[in-house]
Amino acid sequence: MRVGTAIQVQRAWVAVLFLLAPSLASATAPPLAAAKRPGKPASSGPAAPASGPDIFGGYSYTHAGDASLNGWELSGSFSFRGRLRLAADLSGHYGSFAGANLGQLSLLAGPRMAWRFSKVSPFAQILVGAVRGSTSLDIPGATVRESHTHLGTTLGGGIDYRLSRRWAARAQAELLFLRADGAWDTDPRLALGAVYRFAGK
Amino acid sequence: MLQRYISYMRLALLAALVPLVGCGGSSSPTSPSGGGVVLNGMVVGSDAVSTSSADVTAQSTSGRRITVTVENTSLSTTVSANGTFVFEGLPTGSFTLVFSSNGVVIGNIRITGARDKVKINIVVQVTPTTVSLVNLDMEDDSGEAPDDPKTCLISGGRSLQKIELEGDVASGTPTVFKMDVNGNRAGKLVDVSASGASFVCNGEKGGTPATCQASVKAGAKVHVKGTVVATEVKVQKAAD
Repeated sequence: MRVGTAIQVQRAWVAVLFLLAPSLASATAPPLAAAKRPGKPASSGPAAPASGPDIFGGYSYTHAGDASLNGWELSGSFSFRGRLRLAADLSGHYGSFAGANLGQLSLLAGPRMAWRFSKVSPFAQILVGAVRGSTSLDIPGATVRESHTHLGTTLGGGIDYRLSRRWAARAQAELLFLRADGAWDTDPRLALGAVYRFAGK
Repeated sequence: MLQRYISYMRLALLAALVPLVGCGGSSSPTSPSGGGVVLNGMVVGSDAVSTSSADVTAQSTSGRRITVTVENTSLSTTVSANGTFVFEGLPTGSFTLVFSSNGVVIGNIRITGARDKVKINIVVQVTPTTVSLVNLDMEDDSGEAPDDPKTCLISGGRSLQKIELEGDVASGTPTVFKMDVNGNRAGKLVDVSASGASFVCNGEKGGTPATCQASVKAGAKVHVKGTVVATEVKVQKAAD
């Protein structure tokens, strides 16, 4: 899938900021007053997830241009303030198309908002970074090797399902906006895997 | 006594119109759609292709997106950031892919002999001024390479590929002639451009390059060695 103009990218940014703004405000707002009835905690909506850092690893799929690529994803995040976390993501995807071997390596970072509802912790994030693509083909008499690096932005989120005190299962979906040759591509990404949460403060 | 000279020529450039047969087709991640011709394409940049033993790793230069159009149809697509493009429902027989950037035509590649329910995989090198075919493979709807290698007509025909051919001169001059390649059951003649080539006569003592070159005429047996530059490729399945 490809986005022909930058307008859709700008709209995506606006949507993300609109989505994150209330949570950003609540993350920095002063604490709510305690309930008058002693022993009853103040209700302030969904709880913030555990404040400790976490790491994720798992399988990832992307549809890059017209090619289906499979690979892996590693990411980590730590609490910044309340529900606001900072995340970093490293992924690699590989496959073949038209007889050539394709690879895509990306390194992205950015803010993540996370909530917790009992065992379920949804999150939304926007990450920015570099995406490096490569093409290779060996044929009799010739060798093809090419690589290119582009600006990439992902917009998406996922859900963590707590399995134990430290472990959770994660499903994640996002769109990768890739800037190349004066135009934007929009490639979907999916990831499934496990999350390990370190002890929080 | 008819003396036949076998001229061994090293060609600086061999221009060929050769039938291409998928004598070892590559695998493809998807099966062709029912009906029509599917074409999966990859575009690589100007420095991505190396014909020497040393690999050249090229950094793709930024520019405008390349648009690929099927001539005389409404089919058009833009090459993605990773160089891929796809056409489905292409007409059987012959069609021409036109490569352009920012509205300016860079070049084209004509494909002939495409059959129904065939998937064509093509890798093309595009520079600011030229379009060159790097690789072409074909598979039928069974997802398999269509040929027994023994039935291949001519192996090769990929642009920039080294090739050796043996056969008879059909017509032309010593520097530009048509060649009837041995074992070519399709009956197609190969265009040979031998300007800049060196000529060596086998089996004749005292022969000079000039006399060898002069002996290249209709009926002469020749062995040519050079590089393929193909501007038209024919996708053809060898006869059973």
